[in-house]
Amino acid sequence: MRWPNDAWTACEVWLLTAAIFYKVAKAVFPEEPGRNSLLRFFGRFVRLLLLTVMAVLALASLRVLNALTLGSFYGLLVAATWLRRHGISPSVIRERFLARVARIEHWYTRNGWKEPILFRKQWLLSPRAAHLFPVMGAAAVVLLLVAEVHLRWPFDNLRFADPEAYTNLLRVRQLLHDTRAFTQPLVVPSLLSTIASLGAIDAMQVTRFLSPLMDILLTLGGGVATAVVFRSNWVGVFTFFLLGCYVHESFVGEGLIGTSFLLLGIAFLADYCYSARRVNLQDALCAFVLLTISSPKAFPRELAVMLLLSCILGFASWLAYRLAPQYRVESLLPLFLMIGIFSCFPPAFPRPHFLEYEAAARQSLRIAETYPTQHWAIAAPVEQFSETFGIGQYEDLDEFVRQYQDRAGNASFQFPDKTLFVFVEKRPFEYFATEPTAVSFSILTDPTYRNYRSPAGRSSLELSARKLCEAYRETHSSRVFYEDENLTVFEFSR
Amino acid sequence: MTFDELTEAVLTISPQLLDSREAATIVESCGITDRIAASDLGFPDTFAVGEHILRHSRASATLVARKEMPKASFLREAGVAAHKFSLSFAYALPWTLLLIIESWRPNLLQLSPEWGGVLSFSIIASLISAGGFGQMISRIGYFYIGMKEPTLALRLCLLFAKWGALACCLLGSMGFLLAYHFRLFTPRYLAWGGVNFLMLSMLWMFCSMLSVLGRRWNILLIFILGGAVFAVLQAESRLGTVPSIFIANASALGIGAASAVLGFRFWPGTSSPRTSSAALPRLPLVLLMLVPYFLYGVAYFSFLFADRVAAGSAIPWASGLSFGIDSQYKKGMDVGLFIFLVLAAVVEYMVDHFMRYWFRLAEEENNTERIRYRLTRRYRLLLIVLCLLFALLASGLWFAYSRLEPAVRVTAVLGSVGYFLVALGLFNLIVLCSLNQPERAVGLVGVALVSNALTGYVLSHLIGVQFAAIGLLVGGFVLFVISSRTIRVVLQQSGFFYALA
Repeated sequence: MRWPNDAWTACEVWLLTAAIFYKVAKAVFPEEPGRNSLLRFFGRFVRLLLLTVMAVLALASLRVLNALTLGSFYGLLVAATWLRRHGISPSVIRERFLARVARIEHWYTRNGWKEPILFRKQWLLSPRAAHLFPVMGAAAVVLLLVAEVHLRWPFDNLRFADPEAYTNLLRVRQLLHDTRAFTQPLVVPSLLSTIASLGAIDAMQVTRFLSPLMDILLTLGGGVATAVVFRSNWVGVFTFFLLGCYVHESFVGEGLIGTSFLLLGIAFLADYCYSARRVNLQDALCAFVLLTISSPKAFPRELAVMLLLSCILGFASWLAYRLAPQYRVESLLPLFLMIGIFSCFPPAFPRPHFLEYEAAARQSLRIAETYPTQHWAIAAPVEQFSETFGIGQYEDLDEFVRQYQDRAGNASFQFPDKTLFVFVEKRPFEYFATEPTAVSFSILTDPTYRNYRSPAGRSSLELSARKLCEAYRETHSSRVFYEDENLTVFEFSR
Repeated sequence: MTFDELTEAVLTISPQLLDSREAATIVESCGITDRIAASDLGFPDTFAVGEHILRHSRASATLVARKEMPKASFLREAGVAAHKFSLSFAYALPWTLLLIIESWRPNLLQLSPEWGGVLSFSIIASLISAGGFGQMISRIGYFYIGMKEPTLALRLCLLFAKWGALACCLLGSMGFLLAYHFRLFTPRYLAWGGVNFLMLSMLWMFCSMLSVLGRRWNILLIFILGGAVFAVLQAESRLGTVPSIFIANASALGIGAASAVLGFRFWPGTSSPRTSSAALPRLPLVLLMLVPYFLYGVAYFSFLFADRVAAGSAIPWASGLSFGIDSQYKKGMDVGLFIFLVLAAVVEYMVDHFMRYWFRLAEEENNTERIRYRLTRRYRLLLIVLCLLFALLASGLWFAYSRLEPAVRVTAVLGSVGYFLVALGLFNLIVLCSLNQPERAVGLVGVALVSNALTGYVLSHLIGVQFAAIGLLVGGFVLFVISSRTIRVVLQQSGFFYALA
């Protein structure tokens, strides 16, 4: 029954994100019509994201970050906007209430529920839709492709394919437990902790399902940026295609999210240059503030190449439109290029960099859900620290082995924890296919590398851990909590 | 028509005349014009007639009041005071007894942290949710009992109790779902917490009905019997503390329900609500009238317990619990609450005294400036008496303070001062409610509640649990300051507010 549960959790995460960053953002930042709907969406998104980050950090530093305070924060935002627009006078509120009742009555008598359908039908048949239909069709196909590429691993695995996700997860748990509010990274963990807190969803599941959604949104943001700069929707779709299908690094990593904000800032500034809407400047300012607080890194080579390609195409399309508009090269060139790239280099799923067995992550979550908070401890490799921080006690497996291996066989000795789970691998997890031949001294002496990344170090540690557990089991009551061909989880209860 | 006949006719129509213009209007409605007033009665116009009748009625009322024996007046005042004190003491006495027993035998109510958290949360939630319905039941009950319509009072009280029960069921279910979703407690604790919430909510509502009947000692009896059931179960059975608490609460609820319903049934002149032909008033209008009182009740009880909720939510996450009031904090605040319960009883009586004084003054005195001056002086005098009483109580409790540990002592002192400020604010709030101004009272309590909750919540999470008491202190201060400002306005326009009352 893993699939239905996972799908339900994904729906919860995505619906809650949509409710906050679409519905709440729309209510809090009302805008005059006329601006491109994607730009308007991203404008509201960066503004609300900046407010959210500020609120999360302020609340965490006051040690009051939870669903109640976050819900109150969004409620206050919506209420303040409403009052600013309509005033606080009771007579105004009464009039609005009566007007709303009258509107509902009118809507009911004229069968208002039919109107959205009629509106869409009219819009679909309009000349503007006919003009936009090919590019929107292409964008929809690309969106499906990008979604498949980005959602493949998260749907199959609870463990993270990207090591940076563990850092994000730990930061989310720290924020939710009011510790180390201002430690980097700030932006992504603030966003993740908001959803985890409001939805009462485990931070691990939120990190798992929200990260790919953000990846898709931010690659779309890249597409929007080039579309606005070169005034060509087709170039935007091409960029979206390249960034979404061929950049294998996650945009939710703290380095790349800065790049996304930079691209969005450029998009807002470009739109300001063309349309002189002041709201673009505010949005650009928010995007640049987010860029600053997300400690940006230099563009990765892969991303730089993709953006360069998009810019060349954009320039070529612009030239073609100027020189020979009758041939519609500016539409056909990106389309044929996309088809060509897709045929020669079909998009591959990103190479995962797993750090643990899937069963280890699943069992950690199962323990956290089954046992009362803080009434159990876990001795396991370092990844379980992020997975259990604030929910239960954690003991590093290497520390655990060194501390107890001499005393484990002693019948009078007992582990100090009331319920202890020890994760022991039958086949040590292989981070590298083969042992690296050249490793710098600093890495070699790093305990995480020595115990968990180096195949020899990990095998040795797992063997010692297994011996310790077997020795303890001979003299104490215990049970095997979980076992498969790779992993055994021992449970020792007092 | 002679002048005496005219006076009698006017006073029959309106026995308590407000001013000369009202009297003149009634005079004109009796067919007296300016010409008739000048020719037959010898007054220049009907206004002069009205003025004369008003003076005559006030002079007679003063004469009657002066004729009363001073001893009888003192006894009546003592009776009023006892009546007012009895309501607060009906709750305060059992609670004080419990406090004494707890300090005498600290292990008597020893509960696991989970049970402690869920039970204290359900008690607070029940007091808040039933607080609003309790206010509605009291208001409507007093109104119809005052109109000598006990059958209607019973029907309406039962109706509001039924609605209260339904609302509490709904709230309980929603609370259960939310708490389950946010994993505040495990389902087992949540289910029993919900049951306790429902039982206690109903109990508070039945207590409100009993207070309408004036049977305050029945309330005391309910708590004493409930306590006795608990004591017997603890001593004679091996049920354990938690089941004993539930059985005791259920017994108290049963006794409360029986006392309230039978109390109304056997009230003189009451017929069975099923056979009674008295028509209910229009419910939307009744609701419209009572909604401010409902909101006032909810806001007032939320204000009183906001600091405890803040302290309960500030439990360290390393404990693995979501809610639990620190026992040291509870001990400190209970001392303050004891002072508040005594002060609240005195405030009830003082407001009653103040309002009677005001109404009497309005009937006797014509000079508005003088009324305002005397009212302000009496108001200040009563506040000074309240301050002196607090000083007396705090000095009397100094022995209790000195026996507490330093951290608990700080909480107790902060809590006592906070509750004292709340009592001062409560005086103003009850004056406003007595003047038919519950909407103003709701606004004031709302502002104070926000100050209390915000300060207490942030400080308890940021610095430590015991600093939630500062929230109460700040809230009490805000309540006192803003309600005093409102009362100043009310006293300046005393004539207008007297007319509204």
